[in-house]
Amino acid sequence: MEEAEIYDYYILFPNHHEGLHLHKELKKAGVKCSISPTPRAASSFCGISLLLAEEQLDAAKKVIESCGVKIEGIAKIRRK
Amino acid sequence: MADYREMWDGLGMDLEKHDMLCEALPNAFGEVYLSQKNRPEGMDYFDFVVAEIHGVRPAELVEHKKKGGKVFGTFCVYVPDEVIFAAGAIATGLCGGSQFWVPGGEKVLPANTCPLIKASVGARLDRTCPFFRLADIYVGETTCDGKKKAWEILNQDVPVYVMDIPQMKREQDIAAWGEEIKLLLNKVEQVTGNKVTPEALAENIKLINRKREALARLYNTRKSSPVPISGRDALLISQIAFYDDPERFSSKTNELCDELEKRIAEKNGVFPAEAPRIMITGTPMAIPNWKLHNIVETCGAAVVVEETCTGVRYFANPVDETGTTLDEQIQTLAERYMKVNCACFTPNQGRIDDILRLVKEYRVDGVIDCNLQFCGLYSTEGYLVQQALQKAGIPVMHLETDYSEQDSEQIRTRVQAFLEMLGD
Amino acid sequence: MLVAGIDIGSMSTKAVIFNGQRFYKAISPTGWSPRQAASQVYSQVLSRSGFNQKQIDYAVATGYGRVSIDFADRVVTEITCHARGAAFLLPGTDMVIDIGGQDSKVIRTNAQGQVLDFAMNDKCAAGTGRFLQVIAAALGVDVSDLAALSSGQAPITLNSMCTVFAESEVIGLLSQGKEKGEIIAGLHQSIARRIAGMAQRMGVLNKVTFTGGVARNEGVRAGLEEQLGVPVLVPDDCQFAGAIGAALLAWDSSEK
Ligand code: SF4
Ligand code: SF4
Repeated sequence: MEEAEIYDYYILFPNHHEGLHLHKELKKAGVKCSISPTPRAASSFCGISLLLAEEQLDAAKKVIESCGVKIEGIAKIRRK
Repeated sequence: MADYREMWDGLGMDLEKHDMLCEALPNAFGEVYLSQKNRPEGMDYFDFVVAEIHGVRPAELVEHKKKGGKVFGTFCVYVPDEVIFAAGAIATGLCGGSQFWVPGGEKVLPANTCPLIKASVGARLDRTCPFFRLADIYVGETTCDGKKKAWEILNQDVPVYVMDIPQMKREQDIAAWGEEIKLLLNKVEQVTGNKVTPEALAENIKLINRKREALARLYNTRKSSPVPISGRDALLISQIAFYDDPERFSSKTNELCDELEKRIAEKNGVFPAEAPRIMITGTPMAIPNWKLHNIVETCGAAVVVEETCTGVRYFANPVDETGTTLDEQIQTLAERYMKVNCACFTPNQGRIDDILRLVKEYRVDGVIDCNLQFCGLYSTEGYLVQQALQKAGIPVMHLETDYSEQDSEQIRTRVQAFLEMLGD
Repeated sequence: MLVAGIDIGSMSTKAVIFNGQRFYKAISPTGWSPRQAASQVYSQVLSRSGFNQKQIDYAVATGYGRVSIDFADRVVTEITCHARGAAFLLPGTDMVIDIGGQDSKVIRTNAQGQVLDFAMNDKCAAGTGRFLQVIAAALGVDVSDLAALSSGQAPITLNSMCTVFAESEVIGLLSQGKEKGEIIAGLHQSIARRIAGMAQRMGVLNKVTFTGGVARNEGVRAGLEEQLGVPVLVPDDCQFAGAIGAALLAWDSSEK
C-alpha cells in the first residue's frame, strides 16, 4: 500500500511578534492553525512558525494579505 | 524564526551542536503535541513557549542580566524560589530531559547514572542549552548520591551552591531545613548584592503561591470525566512552570483554566468518558521528556494526574502568607517545603498516603509507577508503593526507562497489556 | 464459526485456526519481515485446514509484530494472549512464565485466563531465548542440544547476567578447561534464578505453566521448578500458547 502524500504548510516569520500577530488574525478569521517550532527543512532559524493544513492555505493567504503581517514565506513540507 | 544566533554565540554556546538539537525538536513536538485532536485553545501560549524555547525566555534573562540581575539555576523542587526572587534574582529550573545531552554527561559520569543527572551535566558541558549558560550560579542539593557527586564535577565549570537536605522529617529536620533556607538567603544576598526584606519575601511568597494555585486549578480540571485536557498537555505546562516568568505563567494558566472549566460544563473532553484514567507516579519528567505520557495516551488511555515533581509535588501545599518577619517566613517556608514527599526521605509514608488519596480524587483506574533507570531511591521505594496499591485493590504496573527511544515498543506493549488487564 | 490467531514473535511466527473443536497450526521463522512471515504462515495454516481466508470470521494478531499485519480484526498484546492460551492448555494454572526470543514475562492469571498482574524483563536480553542463543554460539553448540548436553551435570555458577559479559565469562571458563555441560547447566540455573526472582516478587502460587520457545529446554524448566518449589508444566503446544490464546480471544469477540 502506498501512503497518500500529505503536506503541511509552515508560515515563516522574521520574528515572533509578527507570528503572534498573524496567529491572532487567523484565529479571528476562523482559520485553524497551530504555533509550531520551525522545522529545519523549512528554515535554518529557530523560533515559531504557524502550521496549517492544506485546506486552510487559501483562507490563510487572504488573511495575510488583508492584515499586512510581514512573513518570510510559506514552506511546504511532506508529512512523514 | 528570529535569528538568535548572536545571542547564543554571546552565551558561549556550541552553535553547531545546538543546531542538531534544534533539528530534533520540531518533529518530536509535532508528533507528540500538534497531532492531538481537539486541543484547548489556551495551549497556544504553551506551544509558543516551546517553539521559542531557546529564544524568548533566554532573551528575557539576558535583558535581566544586562541590568545587573542574577540568574540562579535549580534542580530540585526543594529549592525555594521565593528567596531567590525576593533578592531581585530569577530562578530557573535546569533539569535535563533529553537523550541529546546524555552522551555529554556520560563523558564524565559512570554509565549507571540516572539519565536526568547525565543530561543535566551534558547540557552544561556540551554548551548546548542557553539556560545552563545563563545561570550565574547553580543551586544543588544533597538529595541522591548521583546528584551530590555531580555537583562537584559541575563546580569545576560553574559555581554550584549546595543545600543540605535532611533525610528524615522530624521536628529537628524541619528546623534544619529552615537553617538551610537562611543560608541560601545569605548566599543570594551575597551574589546579588541585594538585601532580602520581609516585604520582598512576603511579596514573592505570594507570587509563587499564585503559580501554585494556577497549577492546582489546572489539575483540578483533570478530576472531571471526560477529562478536558490531555496528560501530555498538562505535563508540558508543569514543565514550563519551571522556567517561565511566574506571573505570566500564572495568568496564562488561569486563562486556560477558564476554557477548561467551560469544557467541563459542556462535557467536552479530549478522551471519551470511558477511557481508562491513569496516574503516573515516580521520578520527574523534565522537558522534553514526554515519552511515557505519549505512549499511554496513544494507546487510548488518559493520564489524569502525575504524583511526581513535575506534577502535584511541585504545587501542592501553599506557603502560609501570614509571616511578617524573616524568621517567621523562613519557618513557614521550611514547613511547606518539608511537605514534599521525595523518595530521598526515610520513611516516606506521606508519599504513599498521597498516592492513595490522589487515586480517589482523580478517579484513577490504574497506576503506572515509573522511575528513570538507575534511580535507586524511587525503584526501591516502588516496592512499598506497589504493595500499598495492591492492598487497596488498585491495579499498578512498574516501569523503568530512560530518555532513549530504544525501549519504546517494549514499553508500549506493557502499557497495552496493562490497559487490556484494566479492561477485563 | 471459524477464527484465527496469529502470534508474530521476534524469532518465530505462529498461526492457528480454530473451529470450536480443533486447532490447526503452522509455524515458521519470522526472519526479516514480520509481515511476510505472517501472511506466509497464515496461508500455510489455511491450506492445512482446508478453509480459505474469506471463511474466517475473526482474526486476532499478537506478538511483537502484531501491528505489521493488515488482515487482523484486532490486535492484543502477547501478555493477554499467553495467559488465555495457557489457562486453556493447562487448566488450573495460576501463573504463566513465558520465555521468548526477546523477552521474558511472568503473568498471574485466574481460571478464565484473565491477567491479574504481570512483569516483563527490563530492556536487556538476559534471561531470554536470545541470551541462550548467544551463549550456545559461544560454546559452538546448537540451542536445541543445550538441554541434553547439560543433563545430569553439576552447574558452574555464572556471575554475569548481562549477555555481553556472560559471553566472555563463558569463553573464559572454556579456556580454563571447564566442561561444556557444566557451563550450560550453570547457564540454565542463572536464567531460572532470574525469572524465579521476577515470579517470586509477584507471589508464587500453585501451578505454573511454562511457555515460549525456551520452554522446550528441560534444563531451564527443571531449574525453575527447583527455584519456585511448585510444579512447572510445559504444555505440548508450548510455542503455540500465544496464538491459541489469540484464537480464543477471537472466538469471544466473534461471539459478541
Ligand atoms: S524527586 Fe526528589 S530530588 Fe528530584 S526534584 Fe523531586 S524532591 Fe528533588
Ligand atoms: S531520578 Fe533518582 S537518581 Fe535521578 S536525580 Fe532524581 S533522585 Fe537522583
